[in-house]
Amino acid sequence: MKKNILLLFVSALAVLLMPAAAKPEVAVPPLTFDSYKKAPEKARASVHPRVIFLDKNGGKVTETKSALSLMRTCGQCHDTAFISRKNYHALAGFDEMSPAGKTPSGRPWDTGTGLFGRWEPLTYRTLSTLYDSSPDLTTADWIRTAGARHVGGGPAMFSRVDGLPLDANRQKNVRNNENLAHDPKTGKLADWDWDKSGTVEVNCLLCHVKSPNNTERVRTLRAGKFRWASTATLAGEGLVKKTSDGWEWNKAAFGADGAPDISSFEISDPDSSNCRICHGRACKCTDPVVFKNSLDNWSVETSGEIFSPSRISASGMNIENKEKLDIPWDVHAERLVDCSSCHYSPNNPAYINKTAGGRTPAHLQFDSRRSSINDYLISPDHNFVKGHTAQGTADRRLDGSMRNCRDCHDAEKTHDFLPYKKLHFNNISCQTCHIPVVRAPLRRTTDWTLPTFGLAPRVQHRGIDGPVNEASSLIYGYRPALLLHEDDGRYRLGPYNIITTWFWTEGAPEKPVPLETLREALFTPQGDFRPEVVNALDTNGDGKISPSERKLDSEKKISAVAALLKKAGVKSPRIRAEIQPYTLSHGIAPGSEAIRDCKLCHSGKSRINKEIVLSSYSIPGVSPKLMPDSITLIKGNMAVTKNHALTIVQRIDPAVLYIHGTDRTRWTDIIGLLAVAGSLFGVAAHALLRIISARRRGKG
Amino acid sequence: MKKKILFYSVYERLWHWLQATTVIALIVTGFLITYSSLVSSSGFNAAVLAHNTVGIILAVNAGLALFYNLAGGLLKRYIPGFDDFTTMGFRHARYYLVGIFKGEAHPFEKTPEKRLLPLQKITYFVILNALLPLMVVTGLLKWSVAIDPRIVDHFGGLKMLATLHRFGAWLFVSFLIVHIYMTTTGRTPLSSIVGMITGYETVEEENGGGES
Amino acid sequence: MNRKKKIAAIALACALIAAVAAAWVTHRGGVATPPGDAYEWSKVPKKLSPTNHAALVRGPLKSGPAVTRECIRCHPEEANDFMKTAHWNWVGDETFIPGHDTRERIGKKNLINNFCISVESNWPKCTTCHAGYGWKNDKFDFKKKENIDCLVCHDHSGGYAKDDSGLPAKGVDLLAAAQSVGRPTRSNCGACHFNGGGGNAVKHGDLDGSLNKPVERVDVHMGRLDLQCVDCHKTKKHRIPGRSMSVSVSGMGKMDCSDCHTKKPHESERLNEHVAAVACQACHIPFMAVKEPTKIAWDWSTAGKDVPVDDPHEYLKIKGSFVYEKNIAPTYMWFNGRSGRYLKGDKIDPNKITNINYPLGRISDPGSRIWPFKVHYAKQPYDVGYNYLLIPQTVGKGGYWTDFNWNQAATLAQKFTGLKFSGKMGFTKTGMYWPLSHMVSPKGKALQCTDCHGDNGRLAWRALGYSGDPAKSGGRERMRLLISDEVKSK
Repeated sequence: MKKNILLLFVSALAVLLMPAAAKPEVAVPPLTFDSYKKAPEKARASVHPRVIFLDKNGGKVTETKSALSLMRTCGQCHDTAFISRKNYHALAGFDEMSPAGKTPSGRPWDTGTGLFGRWEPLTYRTLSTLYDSSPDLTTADWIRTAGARHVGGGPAMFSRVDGLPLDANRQKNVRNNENLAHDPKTGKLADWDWDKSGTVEVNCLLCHVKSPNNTERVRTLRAGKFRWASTATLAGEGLVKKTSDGWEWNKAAFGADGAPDISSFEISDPDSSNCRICHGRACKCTDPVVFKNSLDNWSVETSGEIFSPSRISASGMNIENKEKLDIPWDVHAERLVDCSSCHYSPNNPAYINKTAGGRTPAHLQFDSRRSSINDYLISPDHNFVKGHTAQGTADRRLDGSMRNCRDCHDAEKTHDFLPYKKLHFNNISCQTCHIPVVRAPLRRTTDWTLPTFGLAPRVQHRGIDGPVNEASSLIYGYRPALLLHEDDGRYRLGPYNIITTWFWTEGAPEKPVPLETLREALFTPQGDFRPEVVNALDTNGDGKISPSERKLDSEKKISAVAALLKKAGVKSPRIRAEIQPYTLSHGIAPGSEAIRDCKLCHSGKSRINKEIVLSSYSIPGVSPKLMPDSITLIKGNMAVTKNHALTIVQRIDPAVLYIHGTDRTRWTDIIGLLAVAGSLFGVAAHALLRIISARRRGKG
Repeated sequence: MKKKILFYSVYERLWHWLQATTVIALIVTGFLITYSSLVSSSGFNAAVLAHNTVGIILAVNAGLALFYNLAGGLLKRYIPGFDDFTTMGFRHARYYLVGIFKGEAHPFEKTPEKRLLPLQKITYFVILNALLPLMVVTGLLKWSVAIDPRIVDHFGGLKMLATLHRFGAWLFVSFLIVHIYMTTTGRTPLSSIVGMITGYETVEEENGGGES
Repeated sequence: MNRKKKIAAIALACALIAAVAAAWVTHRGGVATPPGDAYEWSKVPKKLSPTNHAALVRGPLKSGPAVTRECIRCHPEEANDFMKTAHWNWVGDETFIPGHDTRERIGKKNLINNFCISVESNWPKCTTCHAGYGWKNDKFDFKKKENIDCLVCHDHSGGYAKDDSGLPAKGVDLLAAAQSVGRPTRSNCGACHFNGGGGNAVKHGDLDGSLNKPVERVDVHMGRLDLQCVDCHKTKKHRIPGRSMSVSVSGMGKMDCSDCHTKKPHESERLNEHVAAVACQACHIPFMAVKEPTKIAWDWSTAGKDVPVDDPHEYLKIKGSFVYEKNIAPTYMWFNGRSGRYLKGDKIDPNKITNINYPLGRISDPGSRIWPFKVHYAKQPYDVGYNYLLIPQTVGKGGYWTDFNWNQAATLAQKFTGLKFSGKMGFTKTGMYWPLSHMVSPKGKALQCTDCHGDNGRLAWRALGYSGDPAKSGGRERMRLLISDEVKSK
């Protein structure tokens, strides 16, 4: 009985407590220890000492509230003058400028060899000469547009006229394109006040802090606040705050001496992720690779090179046979080779190889005398060693300064399958076989002759079935074109992408027709193509120009557009076409994936003289010309195929490179075949006669 | 009276058949390398390997034969004399063009010392002094790039060498066709081939002759 | 002529030798060959077709021992062999226990772990997995052959199951099971080994029910090649090689990947160099508990609370709180195959984590390699007075699982365990280690360089004894860290 009452009581209590007990967080006691949680090993902290932030005049930024000057701040210990002077990233061809038309590119409007002065067909905009009365880009305009891919210094700091700082109390009455700029709102030319804007110093932070804020840097440049670009790179680190009209230093983050807590933004030597900011090799180190084709992803767009350790099979892209590609995008990246492992500073004592190049006594294999770390850190040479590329036209004297493949790899030991090793190593670059397929879409053609209202060119890509940046398009990859390039005085075969560009030029001296002019000429203010364009281009008669109709593939269409351009004031408009080769040297596949099929090259169907599609359509009367400042050769016949594609079939002179199984002299075969046929016929006839005569004699 | 006489020594026969095998092997592999679309990739690699190996065997074989003939003083029987080009050559040619159809007897009697007929002498003289050395030299030079790619630059480059090598190959094929056919013009259609295998050929008995 | 012939013969011989030599010199390895087959298939056993026992086994069979008697009728030696094994005795051969002075026979029978703590005093539940019948207290007769459970390993009917004290579960058709016998399958072994710790996937981290019908993604050997456990654990005289580190300390009877694979299995020389310092498992088992969550922490101190819903993955009143995780990265440590072991009665420092077992090995030992481990942490009872881990009686009358009284449970267990209970009990943190060897991924999913090396690598290099990432600072050989055996012996 007692028991029953107790049971009843307990049940009642249970019923009462039910709602409360239903809350699981009350019900389940958590663990009373957490030793099972794994804490990753902490990376060692940077040894970089605290540094006082100074402005341009040497005052502490916390006191003067002005923009950070890295030349001053870093210059407290490092020789920033030396670093920024000897630095092709800063100069961008600034030290190789020449009068328009006298550059190696041969373009009448080019004035330099690099980003500053050499026209870039992918971005179109033209740096105008000093006294061009209708400039496309003045110096300040150039910083605002191209500055996103320029580290600062060089032309962003100094005058092309006299080499003096742009903001040094200059004669303001000289109206040249260094003291003018387009007002972004009105599009009109106006005076540019360098004292107000300041100049763009070499931005040490972009490469030397772990996560620089490039977005804010570019935004600041576009706004014309050049002096603040370095400051903006630190945005988000808690040191500086964006205000409505500029930047404000957060004094609380600084010590009394004016130095911030260095651990908050970690100064270090650059790793690949810093280089990726501008060179755009697609991904952060260990993420599954997902990329977009755009000019922000420069190297992916131009050469499809992706420098990432992650496996292609783990990528988020729609790549053909992806599940079987258990290989990294780049085997060097996989094996922890960073950009700076190969593109090191030439006076870095860890990398310098003083005995290479044969200028040391013959008995020395290794010269152990080094400059001290101290000396190196004070004045590190920022002219990083580089290879030979067709597209890198600035500072050619540094071409081939880096260690090449065979300075690290002993190819003789690993190519036992390959007959004629030495000949192959001599005549073809390692990349030829070790970049068998590029598994990213890359640019094939840029057609600026008929841009959209938003001023986008018509572009075509290689290696993808369908439009780029769409999940439904299958990336089947691109087997690089093999072209000859000059390397230490010899021609060697290497892998390339080839980008063909069509664009309008005008006047004499010739220069590209500004995009704004094209828009005015071709479009109504509402953004529709003018009726003249529609009449000429609308082949299906629906009164609209579909994306596929947007091309000038007949004389009639060209003359219709040319007439419009003339009407808009363009003097003698004509179409020019260029071929810019892009050397592929990153995205190296593991050895197991390298080409071992001799017949890919050594056969009648050799890929070397396979037709290379330049464009899916052609513009009549304009034959694309190879850029003469690329160190590359393309010789062959251009042809339009049955489906209207413009192609080139390469003919490599067998005297330069003889390819067994591919090259053959026709007359040898003709004479030889005749000799064989003659012999066969001779013996056959003779035999026949013998048989006949023997029979006759037998009968007789 | 007919008699079997030893015409070809063991070495000569071995030399001949080794040469024949290597030449045919070289023609076949060379053809496959040139027209590589006919073979698989591994077949191509194998053909390159085989061509180079057999080529070296042929070159060594040819060199040793030269040594054998020089050392044995046998060279003179390969050198055509003046009359081989004129009267005897003419008679020999006339036999092939006319006499053979009329069932005439062969104008020349083969003996172990004078085993080569006038036209044979001339042909072999050209083959052994021009074509074979051409093939061996161009072949070796082409192969030399495996050791040092610059060697060929002193000899007109790979293109030149490859063209000559290839031209020579066509001529070799032509020679082979005629050569094989001509073996049938002996005493009986197969007698020459049998002779080259056994070493003995049947000849009409004469005084003397024959190596003992 | 004879002289000429001699010259000719010599010349010809020279010619051939020269030609062959020249050809060989110029074209060593001339033709591309596919990379060598890294497997030695000859070492994979060929499966014999089993003997059909349907006609051989006579019924009726009313009990487990009756089945065993029927088996022994034809297989008397097998019974003798089996009675020498750890599967029967739950202790191994006498061995030296690192850190202890005596040689002892240790095993499941007499060891403490940090799951259900100990078999002693808890037999009926624990011995459900004993390959025998009727081990319900400390009086079990290990000499009685008919107590062997043949069926648990050899049943192919799929209908066999065990219950308390290892007796056949009610309703099992023993005759059908006995007539179905054959070579042990994954499911036979898995019946116990997949359920270690009291449930699927609980204990091991690399053994769970997903291996009954495995897919390649979970285990490439069992998934792609359908290998059975005994294909690798090649059994002789019922002794099954392979040691579980939780109950065995010696490196004897170990198996190795190289039993089937070559010592240089990779195409890349760089990877092959890793073999000296890194166990295959470290890269090829990138994640443990791929499909089913495994227990990684157990807190006994929270047990005994009434909660409305018991969730075996979070909290059980009888056991306390748990943490389960799946598809997680293992812990990496040096391991030379031998291990240290906490034995009953060993003193502890209750303020530190007591490692009940732990891998032996260090960077300077050439026999040590970096292995992946599952680590299980727990908070479990210890005697505050004597400073040793306690064994409570959990099962049965008066046990903790019945009355939820720790002091009573500890007191009850005393007479079986020989561990005196001071009357004061506390909870202390313990750890246990399981080296991982199963759930090997397909090679395309193995770890890559950057998984361990570089900025965000898995390995704690400095904790392992390196000065930094060995990809940059050099491995233990290059750093001259290895102490050779001769030096050690001095």
